[in-house]
Amino acid sequence: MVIAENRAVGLATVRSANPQFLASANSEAALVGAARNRPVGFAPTDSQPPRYDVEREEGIAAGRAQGGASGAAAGDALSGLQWDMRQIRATVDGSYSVQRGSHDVRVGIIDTGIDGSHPDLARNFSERLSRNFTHDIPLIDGSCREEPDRSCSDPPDVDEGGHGTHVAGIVGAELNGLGTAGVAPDVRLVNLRAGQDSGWFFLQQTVNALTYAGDIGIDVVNMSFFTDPWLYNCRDNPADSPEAQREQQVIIAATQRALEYAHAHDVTLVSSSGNQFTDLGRPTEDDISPDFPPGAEYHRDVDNSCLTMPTEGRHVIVVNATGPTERKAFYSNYGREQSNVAAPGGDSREFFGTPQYRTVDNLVLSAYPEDLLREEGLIRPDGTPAIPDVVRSCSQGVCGYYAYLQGTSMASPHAAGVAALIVSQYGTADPRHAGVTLAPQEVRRRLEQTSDEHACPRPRLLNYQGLGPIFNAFCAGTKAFNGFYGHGIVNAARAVA
Amino acid sequence: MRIRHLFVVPALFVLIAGSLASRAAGTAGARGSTYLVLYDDAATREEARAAVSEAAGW
Repeated sequence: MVIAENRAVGLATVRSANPQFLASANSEAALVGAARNRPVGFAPTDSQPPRYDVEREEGIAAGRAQGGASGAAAGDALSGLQWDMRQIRATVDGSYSVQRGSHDVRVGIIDTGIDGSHPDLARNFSERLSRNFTHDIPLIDGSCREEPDRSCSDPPDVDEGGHGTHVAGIVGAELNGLGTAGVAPDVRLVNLRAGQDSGWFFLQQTVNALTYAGDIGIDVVNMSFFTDPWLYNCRDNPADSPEAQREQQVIIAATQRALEYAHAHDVTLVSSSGNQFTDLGRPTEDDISPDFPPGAEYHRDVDNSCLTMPTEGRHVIVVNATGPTERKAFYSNYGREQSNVAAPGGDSREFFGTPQYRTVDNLVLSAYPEDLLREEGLIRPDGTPAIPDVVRSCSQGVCGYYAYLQGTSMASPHAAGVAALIVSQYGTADPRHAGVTLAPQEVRRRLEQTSDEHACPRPRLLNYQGLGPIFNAFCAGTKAFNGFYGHGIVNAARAVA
Repeated sequence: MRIRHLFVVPALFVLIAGSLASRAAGTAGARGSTYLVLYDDAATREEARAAVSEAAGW
């Protein structure tokens, strides 16, 4: 039986008891191919690996500014801790004075969800437009009975992973005196949940999120993930079985169709470059795939014909990560082939040899779900944070929680936020969706042209002090365009000037 | 290259891992398997669905 069908892409979920189904379907002329639906029918080996590896680095210490609200006079209570917004000039004397975004401009967050009750997001969050395309899978997400809501069917205003709320806060946390402010603090935030609580992003959910974005008039989507289970999708890698090759072909083709559909419906597509500190034009190996079911991974030599999706899909604006000094973050992917722009993602390894090395001061602070922090034991019974990675902000009897994270996952929403500002500033009425629209080509042009050009470091081979040589990265290109920064670091103020 | 080992396991994951063994056995194999099928661009929806039926033996 056909369980579900995405007609825009031509992707169906099918249940069959025929043990030869894959071989039979792959021989049908009317089908590109078939792949096993990974989330169902597999038993894991033992325990699960963490998904947000770079984002939560072990051993990060409290910073000098922890607990304070320095520099808050011209912004929100925690604006003094937001070096990232200062780097891209999303500040009161920068872009906020010209353009804060519009509720008629919709940013879709394809992620683990958004906590719509967070006091710094609630006013901008659209519950009406938000959708959850996932269903919790006990194998990887835990027992439904142990879920905070005791359900495997989460409503569209919860985030039981935390990652999506953090990303949403970077894009559009309100400028309201409380906590942090986002790049576009008056924009409309829409949860397009395609990520499992545990952080896996499977094909059908991501495809459904993208086509839905096109259907409802989303202006910008942020995609801080790669589609599982393959970090690199190779069409004909000899290390893969014929079945695995076909699966990767299906992932590439289906994702690209969904990207084309969204792009054709005026959705600007923004994605993180990835945290593998790899030149995406010269990947050499992949030993984390397939990452589902856990324990199935094996070593593969890969080349540039293998694609990380959706990052390497057509029409996607790819964002590398910087740290507080604008150095390429140690974990960030790079390379002239894929990099379009750079934006703050945090870098715990900046300021080597100083007290700031490996402190939260180097990471990106943004909104985080209180329920999740309580479940993880990261808030004390009196409500105060139990670790330096978490900050509480209270105003007029309302408190919100914030967490420090790092990753290209955090860089991408800075660029998505600037893209939303561009649509707000230069878009035209979209009567079909009662909003505002601007062609993605125009958004990209303005985003890239208004970024601050950044030359490669000297010497061009960047050696990260305190880290091994495998992190070394070579920056190729000119000041105007290179593999570390693309066209430059996004600049919110210039984008709307 | 793996960077994963350098990073902490979120507390939530400890909770998840503890629940896995009891749930895994009951999920595999029942009522056949599910597959993702991508239709060919050149095929009509009816042709593609007929091909799915053919492959599934319905």
